[in-house]
Amino acid sequence: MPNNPANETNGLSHDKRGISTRLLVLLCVSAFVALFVTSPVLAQEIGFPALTGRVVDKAGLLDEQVEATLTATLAAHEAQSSNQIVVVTLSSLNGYDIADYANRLGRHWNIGTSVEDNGILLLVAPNDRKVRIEVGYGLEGALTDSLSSIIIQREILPEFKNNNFPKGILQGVAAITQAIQGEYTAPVTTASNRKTDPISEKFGNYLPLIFIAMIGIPQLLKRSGYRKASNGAFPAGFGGLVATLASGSLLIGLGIAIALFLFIYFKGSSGGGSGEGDTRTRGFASSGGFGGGGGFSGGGGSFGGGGASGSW
Amino acid sequence: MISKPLQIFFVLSALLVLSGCGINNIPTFDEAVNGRWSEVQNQYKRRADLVPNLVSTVEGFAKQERDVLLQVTEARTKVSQMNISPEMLSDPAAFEAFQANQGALTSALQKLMVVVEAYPDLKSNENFLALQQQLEGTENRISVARRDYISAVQRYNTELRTIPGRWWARFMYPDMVNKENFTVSEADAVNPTVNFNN
Repeated sequence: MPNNPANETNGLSHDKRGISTRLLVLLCVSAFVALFVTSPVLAQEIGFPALTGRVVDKAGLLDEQVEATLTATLAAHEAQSSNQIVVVTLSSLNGYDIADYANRLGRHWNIGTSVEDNGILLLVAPNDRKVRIEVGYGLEGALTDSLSSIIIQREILPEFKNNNFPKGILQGVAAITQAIQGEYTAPVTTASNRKTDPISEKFGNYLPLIFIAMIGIPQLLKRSGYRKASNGAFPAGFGGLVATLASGSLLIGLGIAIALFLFIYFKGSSGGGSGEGDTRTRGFASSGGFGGGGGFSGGGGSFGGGGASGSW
Repeated sequence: MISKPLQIFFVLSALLVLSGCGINNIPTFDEAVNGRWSEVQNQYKRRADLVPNLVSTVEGFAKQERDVLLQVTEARTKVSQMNISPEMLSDPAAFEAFQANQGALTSALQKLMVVVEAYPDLKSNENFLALQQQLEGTENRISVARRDYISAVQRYNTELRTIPGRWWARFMYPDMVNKENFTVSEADAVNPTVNFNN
């Protein structure tokens, strides 16, 4: 353990409070190191298609013209009501039940806004001869299970039985938009209700701890004789904090903190290595931009299993 | 005196502390589990509420299926008599009982749905169709709620048993214990066998 000597030299002449504070800091250090080693396990996905637009035609049921019509209809509907509807056709469900698959896919794509959960997925699996309307939490009241089922039975399945997939899908989408019309309208303020970044939100929880660490660690270092290191610790921590808050990404903040620390540390000792620190900072900063490639994406909505399925 | 790389390592690891170290994870995950559990109960309740209506509708057309109807009613009674509290999540026996009772209702309902196939009048009855629809929707929601609960518990238990969380639990949350999880999926638990010979 590299931090033992520091504790021993310090621990002899201090009272209980000092010891428990140091214990907390020690625990925090070890906890973070352990956290770093055991990286979080990501949920495995079941090979979902990419959300390439409002119409994801993996099974190749729709020609370009129908796809364009659908996209225009769905875009107009979203502009008017903020409901996100996505049409998906799949050549295979990978052995999953269609209800299960549709729910997972809707969540994976985050269709609908995170506030209203107003997403709808129309999933067609022609090879399994199955279709499903998956309804987000927020629209379950407007597009109930039985209404979804009626739409499937009356509008979609008769056409599918005649292998007229484009017409069935078009009729289904028309019925869905009619069914949910009037139930929900977009809030008037569109620009101002941007939700707070979850990372910065979480980060706020740690702010007091961070300030303690920024002041406590330089003190600790100074007392244990690492004067040079202690000079770098506070500016580095502060720089990292500012960078994190500005960029919204903890990783960028950490990178900048480390780079700053190295920069100050080595500049203080020899003057060399400053160039390296510099480029590092720049490198981290440039990677911090949010990939804002335009196009369609989910708004953070979720699904709870509402909707109905049908087969033909 | 410690060598320079070691010093740097120490300071770097101290810097890493700046990002916080999961002190709030256990209570956060605990609340997430409780929330998911409420949803599971909510959906199971919704299903239990559907049963009396369903039974009386089927009875109107298929009185002679008394065995199955009785089975459904009994399973439903057991389910609604259960005592449910958040504490049961850390009580294996109580959780097991909950799972068994709900599983019994699931299998009874599935049997009922197989039996009604023999009654065309019932199958075309509008009231029955609506109930069947609602039952199907509820089963879907149950499976989603269960899935969410399973992953919430998994996250919570993992946090309790793996290293940083384990230390925090020891240090600050000694009364937090592992929570029970569903062992089998609803679909695997019961396999209705249809025997067309009797």
